Amino acid sequence: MAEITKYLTKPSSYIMWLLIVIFGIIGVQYYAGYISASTAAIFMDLMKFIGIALSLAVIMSYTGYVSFGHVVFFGIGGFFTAYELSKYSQQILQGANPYTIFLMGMLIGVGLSVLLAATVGAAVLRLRGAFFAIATIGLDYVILYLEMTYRGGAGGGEIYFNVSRPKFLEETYFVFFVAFVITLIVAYIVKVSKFGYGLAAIREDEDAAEVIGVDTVRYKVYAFMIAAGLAAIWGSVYSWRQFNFTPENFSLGISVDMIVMNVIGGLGTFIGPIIGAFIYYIIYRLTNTYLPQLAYIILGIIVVAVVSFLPEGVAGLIRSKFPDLRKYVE
Amino acid sequence: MAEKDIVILRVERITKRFGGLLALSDVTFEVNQGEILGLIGPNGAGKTTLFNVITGVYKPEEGRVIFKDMDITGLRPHKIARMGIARTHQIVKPFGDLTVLENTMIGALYGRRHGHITEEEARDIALNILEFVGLKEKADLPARILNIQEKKRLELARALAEEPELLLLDEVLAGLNPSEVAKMLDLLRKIRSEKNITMIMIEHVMHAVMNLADRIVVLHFGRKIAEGTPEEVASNPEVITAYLGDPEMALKFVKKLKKG
Repeated sequence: MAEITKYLTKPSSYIMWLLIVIFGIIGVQYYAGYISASTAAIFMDLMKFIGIALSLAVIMSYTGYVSFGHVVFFGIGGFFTAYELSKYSQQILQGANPYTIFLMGMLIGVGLSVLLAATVGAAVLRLRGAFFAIATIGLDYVILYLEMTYRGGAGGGEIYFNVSRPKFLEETYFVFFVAFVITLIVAYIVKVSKFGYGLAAIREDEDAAEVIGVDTVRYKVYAFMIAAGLAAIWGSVYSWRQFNFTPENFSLGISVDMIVMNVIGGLGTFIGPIIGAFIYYIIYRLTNTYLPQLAYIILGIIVVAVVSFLPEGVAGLIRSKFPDLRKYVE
Repeated sequence: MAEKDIVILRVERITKRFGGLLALSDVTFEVNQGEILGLIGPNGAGKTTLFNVITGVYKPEEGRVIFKDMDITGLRPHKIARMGIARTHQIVKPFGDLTVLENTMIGALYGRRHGHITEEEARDIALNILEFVGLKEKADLPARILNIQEKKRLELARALAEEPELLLLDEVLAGLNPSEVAKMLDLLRKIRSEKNITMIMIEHVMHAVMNLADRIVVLHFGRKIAEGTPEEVASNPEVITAYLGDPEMALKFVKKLKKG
């Protein structure tokens, strides 16, 4: 416990606390009626982008394993949340606490994701580089097609609710904010702890890390499990907000979004994925609003430019140009 | 010379194959506490393979590795590292994006005191070691920008930070110019005198091994062909033939080496 307090008071945690305060204030303003629902929705999207980027960061950016199948955990979290909510939708209408049912769905989704990451991870984390990436794509396909055989809801893996959108969904900002705080704190502690040093060693040179005393097999699996759990939390809150579930939630495009945000922000840091998510979201909104046909072309060009000219991403640029800021930018 | 002749490491009849290639064949030797053992042999003799077997990177087909009376054959490398065996790599393996200090701290965090050490303690140990190897001014630089000589020192610092009892040095002198070699040799002597760590060194720089090692083991095509003091080994005809083919020419060469 003392260790955790120590981590959470390091200078490199200041940016995280600042974010929590800002998004918290916005939530208060929203519930007080000073901010419109559409503005609040922007900040909720931002929280989700940062959340999923950080979830992937634990395995990709901290540990060096690029997973194209990370969306699978996002999907599983979302599926079980939607499943539970639809199963008990009549009870909810009759006054059952929707949060209990939501949390139950989330726990099932997160639990199964972590379990899947542990079992699959033990096998595929022996693969390196492109082989690991391809194996994770395979995992996503398997789970996606399994899910699409689900006929309990609307068929074809879709879950819609046969009740109208309930009033409590207006409290979604609060749900997102809790998930946001959990994700930030978990991802930050993983980064700055002794465990984080071990992951960094694996990323830089796995064989050397093992010979120095890092239990690389166990560490990789742990990182994968944490990454999976965080992604499942976001799939779950997303399902709650959408109030439905479609197999789209398993699409590789979401994995690619997560990867791109990490790359733009800068690999190997905690702050990188956050910056990347901000930039990605702003570009995505602007292009989608003003140049919808060109949105993905512009995003694509930016990705190519970052990888070519700024391989360490924005966070890497800050760290190398302003060494004095290093202790705040971890 | 070895102090009380307490055996710290015993390599017993190790055989290691890669497909049809016999990399190590029935290799046996002992290392005494506190001594420096030189491990020499022509390229491809199996020296680095032997290090990989001792540190658990490779599993031998036959034989055992006994460290302080414990059978460590086939244990995973991180377990062996935590028991007190550290190594450096012939091709340096720095954690490039991490700072020199962080590299060294990882050695301290995961080495012999794994699980019983705080980050602050690891930092103190790392700073001490960096001062010891002469890299303290570079502590906050990313490891990737060091030159080769500094990377070799970092490799050594990281291994020392593990606080090992046995240190395996894989060609720490290779690629260094003569003045850098002299500095590195001073450092190795300092490790021996101040830290009392047992060492096995693979080395091609002959005058260095001859000077530093108490005893030498010679490998050739995976077999041990000689063992003894530097003088004994240097005058062993089989060793000379292994190295140079022609014994007559070799003897002349050895004499010249000794003068130089």
